[in-house]
Amino acid sequence: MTHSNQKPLSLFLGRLLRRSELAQAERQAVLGLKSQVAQVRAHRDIVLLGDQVNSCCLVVDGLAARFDQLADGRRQLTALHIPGDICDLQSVVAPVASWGIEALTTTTVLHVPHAELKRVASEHPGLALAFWRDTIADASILAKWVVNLGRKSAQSRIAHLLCEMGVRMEQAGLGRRAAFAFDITQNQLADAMGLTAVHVNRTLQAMRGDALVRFAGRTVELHDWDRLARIAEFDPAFLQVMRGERELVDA
Amino acid sequence: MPHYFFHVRNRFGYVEDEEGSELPDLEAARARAIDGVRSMLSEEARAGEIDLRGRIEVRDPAGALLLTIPFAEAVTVHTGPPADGSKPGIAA
Repeated sequence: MTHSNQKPLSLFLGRLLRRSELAQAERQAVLGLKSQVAQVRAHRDIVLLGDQVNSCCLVVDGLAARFDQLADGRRQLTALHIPGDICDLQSVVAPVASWGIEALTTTTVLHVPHAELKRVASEHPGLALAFWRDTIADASILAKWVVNLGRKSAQSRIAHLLCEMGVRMEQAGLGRRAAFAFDITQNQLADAMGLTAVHVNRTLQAMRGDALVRFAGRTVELHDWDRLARIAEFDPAFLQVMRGERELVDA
Repeated sequence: MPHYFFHVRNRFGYVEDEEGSELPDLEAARARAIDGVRSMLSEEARAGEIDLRGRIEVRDPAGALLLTIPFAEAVTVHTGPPADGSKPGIAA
């Protein structure tokens, strides 16, 4: 059965509103999307490579990742998704998954049927544009990951990811950029950064020794944001948030 | 699956692995350690300085030492006169 899940959908609406202006009717259409909630245990796959999907996966709570996998089983994570993100909004128009989706920690998701998203997009062209813009934001983040993995040192890569997650969590109202929940293992971080867990551990400990970062349980604390952002060459423009919000980001 | 911890000792000091990894067996742990060393050395190579004097200690959850992988054992290093230019590819 599908139900209206207004509260989690309001997280997604919040994400849309950071990039698009939406009229009241358009907002109501998002909040009225029929969907089905599901709990996924840590390290479980939500979408497998090659699956044909007929719904999108909205993160309500927890942390999910998009990934690709090599023949020997090694994975490369290609995006991290926090509450309010739809991991695969592009699947509405490209339903055969050339990506996998994995729960990195215990994660609650909403499955939003493609039919529902297509319906609201055709009834409200402004929403179709907002969805388009949302997928472009994900593409922009992915392009930044390519640059980081292709050109930067381990420390600079990790620093950039921490800055990205801090700003995204702050924008989503889920923490402060300098202190936020980040429940990820060294192995998962290695899979995201194109490194090994051993290398990630050594790099993080060096950063900790340098008073840049501290993991306190499931929370990460960034003690010197400005220095970390300089090491990362972090500029939040790639997150493609509207001017009003961008002022908040740059403040 | 058994849990293995990969502690690194090198010129920067001792880096303890507090989290560890679940792997099928000790051979997989050895492969993981070697991959880790090579990952770190590849970055040192790009920075222009390679220090092979470190080691990885693989320990079980009780702290017992199962394996020691010296960095130097994770790579084969060829030095000496230039390889014969008539042979194609990288010197074996």
